[in-house]
Amino acid sequence: MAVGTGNIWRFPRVAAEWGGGAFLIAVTVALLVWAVPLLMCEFLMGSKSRLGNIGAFRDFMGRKNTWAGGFMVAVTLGIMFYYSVVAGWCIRYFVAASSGMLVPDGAVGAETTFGQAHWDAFIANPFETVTYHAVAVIFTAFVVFNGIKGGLERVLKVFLVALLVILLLLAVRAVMLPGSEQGLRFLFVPDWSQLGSARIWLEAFTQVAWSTGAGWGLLMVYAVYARQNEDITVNSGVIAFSDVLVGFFAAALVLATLFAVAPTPEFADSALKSGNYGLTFIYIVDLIVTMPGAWFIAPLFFLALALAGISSFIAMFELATTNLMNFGFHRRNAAVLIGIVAFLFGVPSALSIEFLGNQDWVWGVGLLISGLLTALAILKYGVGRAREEINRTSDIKVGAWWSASIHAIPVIFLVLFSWWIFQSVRDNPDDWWNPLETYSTGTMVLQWGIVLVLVLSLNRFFADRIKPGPMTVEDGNGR
Amino acid sequence: MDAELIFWMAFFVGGYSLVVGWLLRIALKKRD
Repeated sequence: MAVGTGNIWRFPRVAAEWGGGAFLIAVTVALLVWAVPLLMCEFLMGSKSRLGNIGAFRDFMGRKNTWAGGFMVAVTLGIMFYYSVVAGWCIRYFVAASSGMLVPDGAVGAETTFGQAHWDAFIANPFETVTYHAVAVIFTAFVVFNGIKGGLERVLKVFLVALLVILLLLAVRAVMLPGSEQGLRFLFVPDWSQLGSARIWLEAFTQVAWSTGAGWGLLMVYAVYARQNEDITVNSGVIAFSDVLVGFFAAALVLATLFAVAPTPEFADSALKSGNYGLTFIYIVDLIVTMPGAWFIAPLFFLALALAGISSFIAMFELATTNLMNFGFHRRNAAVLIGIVAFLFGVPSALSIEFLGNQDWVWGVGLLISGLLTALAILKYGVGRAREEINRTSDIKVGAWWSASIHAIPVIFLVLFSWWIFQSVRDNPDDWWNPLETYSTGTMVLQWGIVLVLVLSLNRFFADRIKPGPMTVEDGNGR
Repeated sequence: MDAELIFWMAFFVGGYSLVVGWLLRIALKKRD
């Protein structure tokens, strides 16, 4: 399990914006009808095929549809290439906080503009952004290079426990602050009127994809290394519910601190509207430096963020490595190759925050397509057959609701996808078609189109070259 | 903290913790 930074910086902001408790109810529904069923599909595909995403799609969807696995890998790679940059920022802020650079002399109680100046100076320094991007890539490549038993499993376990302890500590500390109650009310008490709005549901479905990793294909790869009789229902449930629970702690921490420490209500409002990077790297810094005990709290917060960022990056890196290993590469060669590629393709995002924003936009929405492809693979394989196989390994048997959810996923996808496109056109009426605009529909369609043409043209190569798994021989999907 | 806030905090955090705890218990039992 990996707890991504999306849980720490995205969840609090979106939850506060969309009705607090009402949003949490929508998240719970989205978890049950979208994330948990999808995670179960991913687990089954990896567990049964014993192959990475490309091979799993070949064996579940047939040779003609192997490209779908290639598309899923491409989307996660697209995210991985900028994620290492973000993980680098987290490491950089942890280093800065530990060495006292985030809490300048006399900053306690000073006016809260330090975060912006610090961020601007950091982001305008290409040497620093590229160096920390390289640090994230080298550390991750080293961990993956040494293999699952050689360190990866241990590193992820230690990171996860440390992250949970730190988040819990900080959340308890934040809740004890005078004035934190308003932030907690904002988060937990439902504003029922919001439940009638379509937007809250769309935001909830998108958030669960980010929080749980449903549609990323990461669990598919995890399942390859897990025991074949691993309980699919229980594992998927633990991942989904505990990831969102961590999101609750992160949201309680951020919102309680924000409302307790923010000098004015306007400050709290603009912090929540400042986007993911703004809230975390600018406003949180301002808040933390004005808190008593900042020298201790700031390093801990950014350590939690760095641990979350790197553990997600490791999971994505492992996905790429496993798929390459299925082509016959040795793990160590694959890890080195992915490391070099990740560094090179991450450099543009390290140099330009606009480029990073574009990639976040294109591949973040692309995850919805990956989720759809996973559901389509199971529909092609046979929902009843898949359900029977899931139930064979699971103590908690899934019923008709699971089959209904898999059938509903394409419909949910259509609604969510149309909404995102509609939003993009509405917010950019003049430039929505322009592929050179950072957040346009045109840039999404162009980049997805390039990847689609590439994976479609490589379909036969993928199907032939990926090594056969236990299902390949059985179902005749091999050469 | 008022009763309404305490109720909703317990509902969400407690509810999710119960589900995770229950699932983990099954997972650990199976592993033994």
